[in-house]
Amino acid sequence: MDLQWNPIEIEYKDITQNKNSLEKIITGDSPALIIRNFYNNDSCKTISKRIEIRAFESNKKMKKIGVSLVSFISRKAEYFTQADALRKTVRQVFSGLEDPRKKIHKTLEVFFPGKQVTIAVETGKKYACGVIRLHELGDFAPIHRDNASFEARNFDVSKFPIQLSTVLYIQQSQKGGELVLHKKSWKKSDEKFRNIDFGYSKDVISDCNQSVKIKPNQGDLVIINPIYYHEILPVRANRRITLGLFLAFSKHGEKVVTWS
Amino acid sequence: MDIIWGNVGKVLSGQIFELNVTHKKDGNKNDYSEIEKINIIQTDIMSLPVDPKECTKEQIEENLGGTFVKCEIKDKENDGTLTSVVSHSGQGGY
Repeated sequence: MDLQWNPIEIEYKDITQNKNSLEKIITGDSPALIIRNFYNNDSCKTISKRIEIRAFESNKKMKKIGVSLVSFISRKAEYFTQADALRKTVRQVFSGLEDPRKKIHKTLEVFFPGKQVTIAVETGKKYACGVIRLHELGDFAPIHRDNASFEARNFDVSKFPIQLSTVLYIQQSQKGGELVLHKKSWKKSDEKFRNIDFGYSKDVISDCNQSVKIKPNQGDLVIINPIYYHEILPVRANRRITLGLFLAFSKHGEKVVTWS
Repeated sequence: MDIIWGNVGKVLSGQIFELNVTHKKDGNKNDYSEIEKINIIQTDIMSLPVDPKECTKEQIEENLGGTFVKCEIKDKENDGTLTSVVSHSGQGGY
């Protein structure tokens, strides 16, 4: 691990003094921006409890609540139908609490003064806003990248030149579940390293000599540039729950759009 | 049904491309070489016309060039070209 490629850490209360910190994430000079104490810990616990009840009631093993575009790359109409169908379900998880998605939007307004931050809309249809992911004991995510511009070319969000990923830690696993960020960005020729089901083989980062392992706390918000390869190590105790939301924009455009 | 995966290489026409094979389904009935010729008979790739016969070589190059795809093999033509259903792969529902 190279110590020089370190995440930027700021306290939520200090974001107005750190408005320029996202630039280093966009350029890849830093692997991640960690905004400490972004979301209330008690609210995180309430959300975790609600998800636990929902998971217990569900017959099949629940891995996520909400819709992610990547699951619908060849099924655009279905993506928008599901996004609408599950909007209420996701909202219910946050009911009576400060909606973390709105808080993320407000925070992005601080980082992008003069730009309007909205949920992405395409031909009158709203994109999904937020996917809650559950990583149970043993679960992990292999090396992957999330930038939508290559496969998701049918979706308008793929046309934005700059994309970032925000992840709110609703519950952190007691052991394992670390996020490992690799200082290597995706290029088309890497496609030969694909896994059949998801992600890439380790060979894709064989020429990468800088990686960093982070384990944010409950309530922290992490912003990464998802074109850089990253992975989640296996969860070794209890459950890891996160809320993910992508954002995209162009340098001179007026809007920042979000989706999941 | 046999399934192979890989990256789209040289595009030969609006329906036919070379696949650089990286993965093969366990239990495939036939063996496959490192490069196979694929004739698209059906695809779910949204940026391509629903009827593969309407595809141009340029469309295949632009939309499939280099991508990782799954080929479900339906038949083998006399010259060895594999008629296949072609779809995006590697998303895994994440």
